[in-house]
Parts: sequence; C-alpha cells; structure tokens
Amino acid sequence: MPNSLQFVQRKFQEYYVKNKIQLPPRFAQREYGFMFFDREGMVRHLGFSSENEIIDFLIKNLPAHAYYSSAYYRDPKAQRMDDKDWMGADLIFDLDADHMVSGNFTYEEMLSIVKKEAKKLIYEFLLEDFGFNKKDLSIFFSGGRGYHIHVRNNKIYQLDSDERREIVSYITASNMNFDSFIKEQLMKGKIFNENEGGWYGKFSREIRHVAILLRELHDSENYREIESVLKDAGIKNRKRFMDLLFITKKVFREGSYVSEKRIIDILADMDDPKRINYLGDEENIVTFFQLIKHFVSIDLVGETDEPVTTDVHRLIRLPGSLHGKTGFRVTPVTLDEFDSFEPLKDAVVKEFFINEIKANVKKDFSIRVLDQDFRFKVGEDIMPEGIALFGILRGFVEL
Amino acid sequence: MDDRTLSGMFPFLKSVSYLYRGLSLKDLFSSTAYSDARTFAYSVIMKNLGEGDVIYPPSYEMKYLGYHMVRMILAYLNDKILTGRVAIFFRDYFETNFISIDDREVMKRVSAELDVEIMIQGNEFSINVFDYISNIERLGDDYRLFYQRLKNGYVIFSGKGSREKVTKILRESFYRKFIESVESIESIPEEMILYYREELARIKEARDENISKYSTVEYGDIDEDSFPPCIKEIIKRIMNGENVSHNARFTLVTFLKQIGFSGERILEIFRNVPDFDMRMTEYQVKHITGEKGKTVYSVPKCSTIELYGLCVRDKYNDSLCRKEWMTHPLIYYRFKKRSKGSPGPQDSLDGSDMAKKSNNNHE
Repeated sequence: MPNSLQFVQRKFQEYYVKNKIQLPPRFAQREYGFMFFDREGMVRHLGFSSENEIIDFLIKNLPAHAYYSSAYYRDPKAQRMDDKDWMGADLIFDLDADHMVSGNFTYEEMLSIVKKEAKKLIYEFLLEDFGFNKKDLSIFFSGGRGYHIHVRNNKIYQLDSDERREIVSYITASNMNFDSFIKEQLMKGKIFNENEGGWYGKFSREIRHVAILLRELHDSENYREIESVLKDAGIKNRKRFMDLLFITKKVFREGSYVSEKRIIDILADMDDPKRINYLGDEENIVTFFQLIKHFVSIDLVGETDEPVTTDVHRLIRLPGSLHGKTGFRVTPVTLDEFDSFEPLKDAVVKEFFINEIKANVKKDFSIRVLDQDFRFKVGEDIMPEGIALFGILRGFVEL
Repeated sequence: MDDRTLSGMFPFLKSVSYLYRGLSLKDLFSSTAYSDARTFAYSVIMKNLGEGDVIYPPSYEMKYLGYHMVRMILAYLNDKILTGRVAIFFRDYFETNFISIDDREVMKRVSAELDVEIMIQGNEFSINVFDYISNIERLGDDYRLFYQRLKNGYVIFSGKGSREKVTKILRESFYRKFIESVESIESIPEEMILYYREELARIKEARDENISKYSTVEYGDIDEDSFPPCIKEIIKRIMNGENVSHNARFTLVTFLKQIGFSGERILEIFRNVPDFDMRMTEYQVKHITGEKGKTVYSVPKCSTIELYGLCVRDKYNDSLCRKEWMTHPLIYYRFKKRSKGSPGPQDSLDGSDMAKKSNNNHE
C-alpha cells in the first residue's frame, strides 16, 4: 500500500477511534452508503441498529465518504429501492460553491459566499416565509464546499418530489415572471405593501433599499459605481434617469402641501405606496421597476441545489464523519453560532495539527487553516499532518 | 348548520358518519326506504358513462347515502377512468356546496377533514403552506407558490376572489381523497352484489359500451417507439386515467401536433383523462396548436420540461437523453427515428461520449 494512502487511513482511524459521530434521528430507519479510498463506486443499502455498530464499521472500513439517507424506510437494507418501503424524508437544502460561485476565488472566499447565501436561505425563506421553527433546522458544514440544512418537521416528511420542487422554485424564483409584478403595480398605480407576504413584500422592500443605495452612491460622488450598477440592470439613458431621481418635487399628503424633497428621498424615506408616481410618466416608473427587478434577482433570490431537495431518497453526508477530499469534519453548527462559525477553524480536526510530517509537494498550493497561512511550493517540505492530509486528498502532496 | 345538513353537502365528512351507524347494507341496496339514494348513485355513475342526467334526491340523508353507494360501485368496477370522472363530478359538487356556506366554523371543520389547515380572519384566509403545495399540481400557473402571499408558513388570501381560490385548493384535496377512498375499499359488500345485481349489470354494460370504445389509440405511420421517454410517460399516465397537469397536457399536445398528429387524433388520447370535456378539450387543443388564436405554441425544450417536473431521464436511464446536445424532445424524436433506419452510426454515438451520471452523493 502506498505511503500516502496508509497515512490517510491512519489519520481517519485515529479520528474515528477518538470522536463521536452525530447520529440522525431515527437512525435505524436510514440507509447508509460509503465510498472508499482504494476502490471505485459506492457501497450502499446498509443499515445499522446501534451507534456502536456504525462506529465499528467506520473504524474497520475507514471510508473516504460516509452518507446516510434523508429518507427513512421500514427496510433500509433492502437492495432494491422499491423494496425499502419509504416512510418519509427530511427536507434537505444543499448550498454548494460549485453551483453558485464562478470566477477566481480562494477556498476561503468561496466558503464565505456560500455562508452568506445559507444565511439568506435560513432567515429570509425557511424561518420567515415558510415559518419553520429554529429547532426544526439543523445546519452542517459539509466538510467540502458548502452547507447542508436539514429540516425536520411533521409537515414535511411526506412531501413528494414535486411538492419539494415547488418549495425550491419559490426560493430560487425559477420560472417566475417578475414582469407580472411590475404590471400589477403599474395598473394599481401603487407599490405593494412592504409587509405583504411572499415576493410581493420582498419586491416592495427592495424599492426602499435600492433608493437608499443609489442615494448613498450619489451623495458620496461614486458615479462610476452608479454607472456600472445601472448598466448591469440594462438601463438606457442612464444620465437622464439619474438626473430624474434627484429632481426636487413638492410633496403632498392628503391633498395638502408638506415639503419639498428629492424624488430619491421620497422613494427611500416615505411610506406612501403611491410615492412611485413622483417619478412621473409610466416610462420612468417602468425603468425604475426594471432596476428593482435587477436587484431582486441578485440580492433576494435564494440559492439551493434543486436536485438535492427534490430527491426523496438522497444520501447525504453523515454529521461528524470526515470528508474524504479535505479531511475536514462534517460539522454541525447551531443557528446561534452560525454567524461566528469559521469552517476553516471549527471544522478542522485539531489533533491533526499537533505533529508535523515530511512530504513531497507535487503542485504549489496555499490554504488558510486555524488562522495560519500555509503556502507550499513544489519539492520536499515539512508540514502539519492535517495539511499533508488535505494536500494528499486534493492531489497536491505525496508522502 | 346541523350535522344532518352537512352530511348531504359534504358526505365525505367522517364526523357525521355517526348519524348513519347501524344501517344495514341489505336495506340500503334493497329497501324502498332508500330508493332515492340508489337512484342518485345510479344516475351519477350513468351520467359519467355518458348516459342520462343526475337525479338528485331531495333529502340530505339520501345524498349522503347515495355518495357512499357510488364509492362502493366504483370499487366494484375498479375502473380508473370512471373513478376519475366521478371524482371530478363530486369535486364540482363539493365546490358548489363549499362556496355556498358562510359559517366559519363549518369551513374550518370541512377543511380540517380534507387535511388542509385554514385560519380565517374577517375576509382573510390563511392556508398552511405545505397543505397548499400538496394541492396545486393540477391548478394553473397563477397558483404557483411564488405568486402567493407567503408569510410565516401560511399562504394568505385576502380581497376579491379569495374565497374561490381557497375553495379550489380544497376541491383538489377532495379529488385526491375521493380516489383514495374508492381505492381503499378492500372488500366489496356482498349485499351490494346480491341485491343490486341488475343495476350493476346495466352499469357494466354501459361502461363496456362507452369507455372501452376510446381506450385504445393507433398511431399509424407515426413512430411511437421513437417518442422521448417524457412524452411516453405522459401518454402512459393519461392512459392510466390519471388527471395530468396542465403543463403535461400542453407539452404533449404541442409535441404530437408538431410530429403530424391531427387535432382529432390528439383528442382521442385525451378521452382518457378523467375530467375529459369534449368541447373544452377541443378548444384547448385548437388553441395550443394554433388552429384558433394567433399564437402557435412551440414544443417546450428539455430544460423547460425539466422545470415542469416532467423529465423522466433518471427514471428511464435513457442514454440518448443524457447527451449534451439533447436539448429538445423533437431532436430526440428525429434522431431516434432516423437512426432506426441506419443502425450503424448510432452505436458509436450512444455510450462512448455519454455523460457520466453523477451518483447519489455530493459535497
């Protein structure tokens, strides 16, 4: 057996001997699946009836990746899916950098983008719109590039694939026609109430946010940013449009004169749902709505990997297990800790950073772990075992 | 509103069944005391087989009993298409009755028995979001969740038309539950077979004359084998008497029209859907195929079909569907049909460059 593989398996063994894994509720009703370092494919359709049995399996077999089913079955060990007798499934959301981050980002930056999206998903959608309780949600750092959110609540176990897809479509607004929102508001001559549920309230609240943002950019003379924002939104006649927003208008309330204000201040500060009409003719209002629509699509639309949520037989990483491509732990995070959670600190197995080892770097790489920057160039070098482990699993290092 | 009245308006309510406890099935299917109920049941079945009109009994009791007789008859016939049609009939019966009541408590009670949690405040209705999404599959795009006022786990309807919308959600739940309630009858009561023999024989005759007539469809020159799996699946579901979604119907009609089906042939297929209405379907088919109206709708592409939840690529594991260039059902049809004529090159196209199916796990 090559040295690298031996080393990886030894580290995984040390970990599983010393650490507990977090068993999912109804763990005996779940299917388990594993992938290994030294063979192809996945071993699945396994079942366990006690915690010790799972730990024993992990220690003996040292899998690279450990999974359990979001579904629970009467007979999780049945070889054919149809024979398992599906009883229900947790509702799973998967946020993965692969699906949402494009461009040149470091691992750390990627994780922080995904974390921001996860927060939006949790607070704006799961808690606020869908009304889940905090205790219904379990959040996990995947050990790789993202977060998993598991929802457990009596109302969701029985949802089928289509029903789960409807939830995802709501969150990602996929195939949703925002123009119908614009039309409706134009027709009524007023914007939606900010407290209205669903995308109506979101759209309306965004009007205020965008107005405040433009005002700030304008007042701080950041014209270049304004230009780029408007251009991205596909606004033509940008100069004319900006001028319009900063025209001063007489403000009336219930027919009587109140004061003079810039249109941008009216849009940003006033509560009047008809304030949109200060923009003048329909063309201007449509242009403004177009800008809002653009912001809604970048700021408010939620991200989550659809096939994961809609698959009611999905296998998902076992909390507490190690991720076979990083050596990091699949780590539970409570909602209260989520803000301060730092994956490259809190999901790192600290025992792997006590000893150092000599390793052969095959490809330059760098990573920031446990608040330290590690940077290696091709050639022999000494590094903490945890870094060697990460490097081997990513293919940068050999022993 | 007393329970007796409710039992006639909403005969599915379990909470009113106590009123009828102890009734003998023998009496039900033979005594003159219940002939109104039997007439009602018989006429509902026959109407849905295309014969005669429904004869409503004057009393709530007879309506209740007739409804449950219908369920037993349907269980006995075990015919998905007919059950689906009768489900639509009673769904509409439910809708008419539900819209007519004003009593909030009754509304809540009826909803609860349909497993739809509702809160009512003034003219505002709040439906539990998960009950809501379980009942919109067959409703139009307006009912998609992202167009609703969703807050704190409830979809909120207020203002004009709310009552109607809420009723639509409930009737969909009723429809599903009605079919379940027929399918869950395990043993057919002997009393019915014994005392209701003649009527059952007449019903069967009418059924064989009507429904079997339009259960088969011939495709002629058109190569059904070359249909992509998603289209085959929709047809299969329709043939099984399933009430498929609007998007499924739309996809099927545009596809069939494009490959050369006549409007009439398309209609033939739709005769199997439970809520088949000749005039309505004809209008819709003509509308979609551009015979009526200005727009000619095109066949949705693969990504749209996927969004509709109609893509069955994974279920059938079809290698052609996994090709990177497979973006449209018509491409599939054309390719498959052509490659059948010249089997040579197809082999090299299949398999070797097949995108590897990702396995069931992820980061």
